[in-house]
Amino acid sequence: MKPEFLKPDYLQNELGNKFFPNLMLHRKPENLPLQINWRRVFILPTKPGLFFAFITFLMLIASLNFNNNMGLMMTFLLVGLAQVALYQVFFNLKNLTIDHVTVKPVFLGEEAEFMIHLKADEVKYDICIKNKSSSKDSLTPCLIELPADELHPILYTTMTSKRGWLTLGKIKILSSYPFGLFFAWIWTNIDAKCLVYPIPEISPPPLPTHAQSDGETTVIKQGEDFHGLKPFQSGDSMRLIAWKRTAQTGALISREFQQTHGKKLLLDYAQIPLADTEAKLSRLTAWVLIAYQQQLDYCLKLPQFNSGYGYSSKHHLACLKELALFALPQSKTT
Amino acid sequence: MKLTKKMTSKLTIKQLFWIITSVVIAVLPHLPRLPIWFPFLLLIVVSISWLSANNKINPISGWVIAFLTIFIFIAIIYFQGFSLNRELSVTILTTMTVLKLLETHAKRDAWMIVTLCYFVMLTRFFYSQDIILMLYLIISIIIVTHSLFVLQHANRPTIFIKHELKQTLKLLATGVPLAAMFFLFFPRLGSPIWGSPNLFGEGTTGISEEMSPGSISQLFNDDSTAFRATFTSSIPEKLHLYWRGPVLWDFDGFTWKRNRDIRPTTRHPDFKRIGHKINYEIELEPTGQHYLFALDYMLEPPKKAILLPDSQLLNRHKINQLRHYEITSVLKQYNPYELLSNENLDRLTNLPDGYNPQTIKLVQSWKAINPNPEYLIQKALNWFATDEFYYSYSPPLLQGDTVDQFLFETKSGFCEHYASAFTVMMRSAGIPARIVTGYQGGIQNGDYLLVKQSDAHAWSEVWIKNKGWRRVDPTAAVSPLRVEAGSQALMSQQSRSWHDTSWYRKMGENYDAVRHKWNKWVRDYNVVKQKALFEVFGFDLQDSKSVAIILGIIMMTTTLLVLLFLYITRPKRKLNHYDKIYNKLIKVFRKKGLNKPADQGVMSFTQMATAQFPQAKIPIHDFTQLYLKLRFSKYSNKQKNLDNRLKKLISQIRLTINKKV
Repeated sequence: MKPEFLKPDYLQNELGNKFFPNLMLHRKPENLPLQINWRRVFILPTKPGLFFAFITFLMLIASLNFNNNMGLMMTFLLVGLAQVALYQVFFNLKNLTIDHVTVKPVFLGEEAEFMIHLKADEVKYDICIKNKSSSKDSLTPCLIELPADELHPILYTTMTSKRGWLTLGKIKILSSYPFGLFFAWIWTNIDAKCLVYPIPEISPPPLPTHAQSDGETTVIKQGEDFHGLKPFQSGDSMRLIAWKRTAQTGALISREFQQTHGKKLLLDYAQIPLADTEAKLSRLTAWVLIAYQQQLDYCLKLPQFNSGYGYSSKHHLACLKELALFALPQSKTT
Repeated sequence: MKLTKKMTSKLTIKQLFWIITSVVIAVLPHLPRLPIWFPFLLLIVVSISWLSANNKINPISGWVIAFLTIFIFIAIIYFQGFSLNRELSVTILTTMTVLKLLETHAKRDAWMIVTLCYFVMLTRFFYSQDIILMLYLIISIIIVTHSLFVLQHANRPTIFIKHELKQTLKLLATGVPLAAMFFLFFPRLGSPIWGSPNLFGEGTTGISEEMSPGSISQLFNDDSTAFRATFTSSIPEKLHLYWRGPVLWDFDGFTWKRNRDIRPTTRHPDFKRIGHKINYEIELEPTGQHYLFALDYMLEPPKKAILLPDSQLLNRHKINQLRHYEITSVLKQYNPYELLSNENLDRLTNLPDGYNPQTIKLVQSWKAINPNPEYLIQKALNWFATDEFYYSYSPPLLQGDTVDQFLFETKSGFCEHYASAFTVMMRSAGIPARIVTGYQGGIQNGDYLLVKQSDAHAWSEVWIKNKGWRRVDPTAAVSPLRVEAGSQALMSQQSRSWHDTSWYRKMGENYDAVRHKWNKWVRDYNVVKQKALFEVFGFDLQDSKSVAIILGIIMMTTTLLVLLFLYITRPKRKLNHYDKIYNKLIKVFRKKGLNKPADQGVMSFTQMATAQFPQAKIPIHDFTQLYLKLRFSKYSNKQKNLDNRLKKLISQIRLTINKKV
């Protein structure tokens, strides 16, 4: 029986994280808020920094050869400047806190917009975010100034390539303040993910009528019967916000309405005459969007899922989420 | 204020402004050395890049730039001549940096050009390391470094932002300790591995190797330093201070020239048995010439120099940098040790045919009375002293028979006129004579003797058989003041220009004393002085291990200093005056176990506090009201009595909530 500290898990997670926090990063996503440990900061010279070093070296050789004291003075001042820049760049990332990340669900093909909120107890400058796949020419989002004790977001966008949960993944937070001679960076694997809905079919066929049950035909309008208040949910119409109440409580409150149901709409996965799963999901997504727009009472039926009839935004979002996560490994749902 | 943005590689107007300023400041001190059209090139390039950045004109295409570059290189070679010397390489580097402005659109180019600016600045110091350039170094390094800063941190478009400049200054100042330590302890080279610093340099000629009427009086207006002499013993009397320079043998009727056929010998005059020897060190300002100056008569040449038989010191290289040499002289008016061949004796009595008939006639009449050279010398000097001869630094111009004109018409001249006339007179009598140019006198300035260009002088040497060379200064006969009190005395009598006051001259001398110190302690800090410094700390410079240890210690200490400095000066959040008072209240409650959640406002926190400590309801309420009133109104900033009231309320709250427990 091995002692506990010799077990591979223990070595990797406990000791590894303790002594080499940077190396063990990829093991598990990190929880927010996360204050960056100074031991995780890496520093290397940038390309301009290397050129600066090269020129300084030439200056040193030339001044030394002729024992030109003013030249040496200048050269050593540049060496001193580089030394200061090296430490300043480190100070600029030290104790940076990633407070939280907000992200809204998007449809496949749109860009996922992660708002990464940063905070620090000192002023920070020129903080940029990159990931592994960021190409050189792509524009890097940067925060030019992060005032002390203020929360500021950096908008970090990535293209979505498949539906389901899109994790933020490993990102690099970097800075080359003050002179661009050195850049300091940290890798972090923030636990943040964006829900990607299937791409809605561009021109879907009209809503199915086969499962439509008869009812009274009523013109559906908003605000027929005031039902109650509920916390604002993304997706709710702006017009539904109860501003008065919002002002009192400080949290967004939207009004909820009950409607006289006209049609009942069944959107059944099994009944769509398409072979491809993704195409089916696309069509269902398009229909769900139309049904929600028209405030129809609809029910989404997927294998192993039945939403029941509903029309609320909550219902709508639940449906979209199911569509997004359909037939994906369970572990990815929350 | 917009805080986030996407990093782009395109330059902003602000960044371009700083880059252009850097290039201009780096190139500016090179301009006098560069071809005459260079300022126009700089102006055109700067305007084009500025206008195209402002979208006033279209950017120049790459082909045009390439063509222009080739054209300008050809022009440089045409103007400066083609040889692979350093002069040309510095010019090319400077030109490249300027032309690079034309294609600086992206940040990558900008970083390159700014870094090159540092190098261009450095090359300036190869030419001169005068203390005045220290000022240039400081200003330019701030500007260039600030453009580096602006390239990285492009926050707002305003060109001058005080706190950004402050940031640059702070970072530069933090680098100074390392620079100073490295300057003192970084191992130096004893001698250059390649080349010589004398390849660069700019000198003001001063005394030249030719003399014609007016050439020395012209120097009389120049108060710049020729050299500085530091004596090991006391400074000799003024009338012994004849600083010997070029010795002129050949006269063509107008100009005196050196004898170029004379060869150096290893046989130096042997004054060992006679005279009092004095040792001194000379710090010669760059002249671009070969001459070294020393007192009559020097015994041996200093290192890297030769002594010609006519007691003329020549340096092996052109003196383009400050030149130091130690030398020993005996103060003598006679030099009996020079060997002259018959050929040389002929040369020393040679006069151009048909010139100055009146002078020759006069001297011949004197010779008829008494052919003794000593008598003739005395006769001539007496004539100068008694007849109406004037000493003047702005004499009338002479043409044709210059000596005749001077002696019989104008009778007004500077030392070169007298020396020239006297030497011609001696030669007319068949006595070998020549002219020596150099400096005479000097001013005691602190612990050294300052010799200015205005101390330039010319005198004669006459060969007397069996006795040797005798120094004769005809100027002394005309104006004894010049030799006894120095050229300064003449200036006090008659000012040379409107700004020529003794006060102004004194200022110049004080400045020279500073420069002398600068030269001594900073500019000439070298491997020898460094070795002495190392020895103070008990290290041996030859031992690479101790050097490594010292540099390691420097890196460590400066690292700690920098870290400490950055930590101390790190930007802190500024607490409002009233927030500090409020924090005290929070502390009071924290002691009682009531912690304020980070996001809670004043109102809800005091409500919470009241709920927990109902007995302190009144003072808490009062405090809240007063605090809100003071904190958020603009008029009552720092009203002492109200502050005290707030503080009193806090202690009241503390008392009340402590009472119960």
